[in-house]
Amino acid sequence: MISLWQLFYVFARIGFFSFGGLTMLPFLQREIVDKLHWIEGQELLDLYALAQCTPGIIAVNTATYIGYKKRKISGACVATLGIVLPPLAAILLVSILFAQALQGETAHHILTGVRVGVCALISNTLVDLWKKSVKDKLTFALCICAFIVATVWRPSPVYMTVFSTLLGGVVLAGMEKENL
Amino acid sequence: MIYLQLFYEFFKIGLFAIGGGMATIPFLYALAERMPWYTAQELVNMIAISEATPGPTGINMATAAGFAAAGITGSFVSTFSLVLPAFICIVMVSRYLTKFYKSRRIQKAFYCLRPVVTAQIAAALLLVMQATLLYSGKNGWNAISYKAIILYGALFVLVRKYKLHPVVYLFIGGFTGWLLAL
Repeated sequence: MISLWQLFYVFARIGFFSFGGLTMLPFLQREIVDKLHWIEGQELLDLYALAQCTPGIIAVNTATYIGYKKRKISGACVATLGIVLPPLAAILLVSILFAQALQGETAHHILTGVRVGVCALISNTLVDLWKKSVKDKLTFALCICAFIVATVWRPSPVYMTVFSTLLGGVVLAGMEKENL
Repeated sequence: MIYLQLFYEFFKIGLFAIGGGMATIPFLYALAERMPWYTAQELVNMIAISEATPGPTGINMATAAGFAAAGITGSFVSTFSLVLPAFICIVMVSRYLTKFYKSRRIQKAFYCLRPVVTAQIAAALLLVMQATLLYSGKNGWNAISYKAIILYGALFVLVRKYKLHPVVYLFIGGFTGWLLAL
């Protein structure tokens, strides 16, 4: 039986040393599959895929899934807290320190440069996302239309998410059934 | 009551932002426009801090946004509200989910959702770039900051080529910004 403390500790470490996104999976593989043998490699892949389809942050969802699998609700709570608390503390510390340091001319120049860096990083993620999500004519058209809608009319992202999910899950899946 | 508002807004983001941390950016941007909590420029600073600090970017951005809105208590409220919908979802439906996510219906839903999420992040990026690569308060060609655009191009090439830690590129950006007085 895995103790709750151990669950917390392992995910706190992962929360602190991972930088989210795609760097998570190799890290989880090494810690939870290879070292601790809590779950098997294939199971981790399944949970990770599930976490991507669950709303919210993928890294957190993976932790919640594994915690739940090991110790039910208390495990889910502890694993989630483990992965959330260390980054929360880190950000608070940085935000409190930065609030004072970010004044003046020099800080303005540095920050502008850093923001340009952020643009480059988001662009990089965007290229990866494009490659993964745009696979054929339909997804290409959807992406272009959604971009135009989001830029021109700027509806709440909630509506766009709900609309595209229904389009795929109800309309597209329904049409396929008729063809069969 | 600002904490209730924070709870409502971030619960909503946690529920509807599917596809990880970056998917929360369009929501956070919309929030910057609707609420007096932080400006679009401050949001970009928060993204920078989130990329440079350990932890999942989505969590970090929520914490930073909550802090900007209502201090330390605000950061706790925003972070836990963001996590809560997925937590409830996992604890309640985890048993059926394994079967569920392999179903054709769900596969199709995500097939359509993914390109739309990509488009929304692209639209948010466009706004962020507008705020970063153009001088505010100037019009037409005068507004273009060529130095910033060249730096952006160079950094983008570097990021694509060498997959180093994000903080490296932010550091290069900040250092160059200081040198060139961006």
